[in-house]
Amino acid sequence: MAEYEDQHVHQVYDKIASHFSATRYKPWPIVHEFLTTLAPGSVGIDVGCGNGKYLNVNPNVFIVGSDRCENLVKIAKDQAPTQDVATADILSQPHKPSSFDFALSIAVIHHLSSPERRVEAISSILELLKPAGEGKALLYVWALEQKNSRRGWDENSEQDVLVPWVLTKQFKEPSKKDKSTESESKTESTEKESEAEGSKPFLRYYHLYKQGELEDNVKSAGGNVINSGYEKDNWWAIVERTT
Amino acid sequence: MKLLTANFLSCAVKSCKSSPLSFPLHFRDAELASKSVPYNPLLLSNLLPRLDWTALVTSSSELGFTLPATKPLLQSENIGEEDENTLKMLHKVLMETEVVEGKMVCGSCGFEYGIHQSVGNFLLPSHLV
Repeated sequence: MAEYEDQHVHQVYDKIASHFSATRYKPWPIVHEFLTTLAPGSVGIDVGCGNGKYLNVNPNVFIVGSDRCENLVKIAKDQAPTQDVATADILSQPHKPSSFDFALSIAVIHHLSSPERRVEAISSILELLKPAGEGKALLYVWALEQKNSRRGWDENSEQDVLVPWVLTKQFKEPSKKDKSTESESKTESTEKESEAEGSKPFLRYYHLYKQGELEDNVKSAGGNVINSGYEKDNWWAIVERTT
Repeated sequence: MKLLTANFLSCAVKSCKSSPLSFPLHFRDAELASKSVPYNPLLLSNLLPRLDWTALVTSSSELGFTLPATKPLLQSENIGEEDENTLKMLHKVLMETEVVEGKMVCGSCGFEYGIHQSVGNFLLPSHLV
């Protein structure tokens, strides 16, 4: 399982990091609200922080972002000088239990490749939170039900999928800047994968969540769902410990 | 890595979680840099109650700083001159001190985590997962 994820998640993000990062800069509304309503001085973790796009949303809280992908962590470090980052794995996090006011894990848990590992990922986040009432986490996963998205999946589609990422020209290795192609291949506000001939897609593993499945996983992990919902092709849940 | 961050890191090895020796991790061979970031008294004054001061004193001394032995208390809701001096000192130590290169060592299992280009690497070799 861990080796499969290494090949189909970690190695892919390491290769696509700068292109991926250039497509990820607009905070999602639910995440934005979660962060901006935290008390000043709150200390939290962003597990799977990617390029760190959520680290600067609220300057009055302190966040340690972590990601399995070193290249993304380096980008996050440069982007968030008042916050901090570390390279770490969601299942072996370098933190003390019961020590955080909040946690974020946005678009991460769906990359773990078995139900047991996804539940373990959620419990590993829960155990780092302060007890119920003091600590809470926001979890976000990709939804199976996204009939109107570019992918067009619905509730009858396969849940375990490999999703291609095609590097657009300027992000290919070696990183030669080709001025003439820069404007036409400039990344738009949403993720854009060029279908250019000869582009080799990188396949990322995803488990697409069905309605209610995230909440079930949280309960299996020993957590309590405070609030949950659907936002633009994703299921989200705000959760706390039961103890 | 900021000195502040050391207050929120411990060993990633599961069997170390219950050991008081796994926190704080101990700095070794640290190369420091001072990196200017915006001063935020609202953040600092509210962070202060959340700090493990004993651990912070340990981490600081490993990096060559001497902090007061007990946690400074802010005098009032409205930050006066004395509090301002305390917060500015905390800002310099916690937020602007970066460990650029070095190691963090677990006092329980002895595992060494590398810090390179200001980023700590806490990925474990497979036999420790």
